[in-house]
Amino acid sequence: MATRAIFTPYSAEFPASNFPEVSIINRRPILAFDATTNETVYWTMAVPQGITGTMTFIISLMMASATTGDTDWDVAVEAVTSGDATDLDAGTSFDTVNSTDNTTVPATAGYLQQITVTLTNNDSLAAADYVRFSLARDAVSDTAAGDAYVLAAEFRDAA
Amino acid sequence: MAILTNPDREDALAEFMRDQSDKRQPINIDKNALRALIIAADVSLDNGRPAYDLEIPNPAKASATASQKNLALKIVADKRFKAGA
Repeated sequence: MATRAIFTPYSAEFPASNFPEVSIINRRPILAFDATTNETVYWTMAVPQGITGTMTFIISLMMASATTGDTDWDVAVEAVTSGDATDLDAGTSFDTVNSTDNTTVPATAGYLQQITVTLTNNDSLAAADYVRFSLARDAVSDTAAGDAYVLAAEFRDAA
Repeated sequence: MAILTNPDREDALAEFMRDQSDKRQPINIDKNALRALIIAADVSLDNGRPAYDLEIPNPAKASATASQKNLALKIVADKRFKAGA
């Protein structure tokens, strides 16, 4: 298992609406995902050579307030190969989302939790592709009250 | 003063969670239980309204407008909340 990328709040990219607020909690940069509106963030990279096997996306987060309930997360992959028929300046081509749902929050708010999302739907991601990951909290469906603060995310493969 | 509509109750729920998240106060119940709390607060205000109307003495009872009576209730409730009541 190899780490292929590490994403932080300050390297995040945002859609035009319904995005998490960038903030600082205890001097730690975070992305504050709302508890009632589904919010989305992106990270972009070029896929490194040698990528292989099952790919996973690990979300490091803490809850602002919730000490009970669960969170639902969706990760989507948009992989574009040179020459692909994707009009980058006019559209997107994300694959079907990969979900990890009903993960119970830690019993103490502020404790670190790491949630793994397996990227079964990975848009046939391959080395050298221009790839974008989309991370969204499915706040409409989950049950934890209050914001979820994402601290970082990691992209791994099976190498 | 009618009970809140469902969208207004959802707004109240969102406002509650936003407040507690900003203060980083532990919420030891999930969204469904919190929604029930918001509904209970709304319904209790509605149920308590006749008692408030009975308590208002004249000449305020006869001369104050409905919105002025509502405002008095809001201000007193706000002050009691700030005082920790």
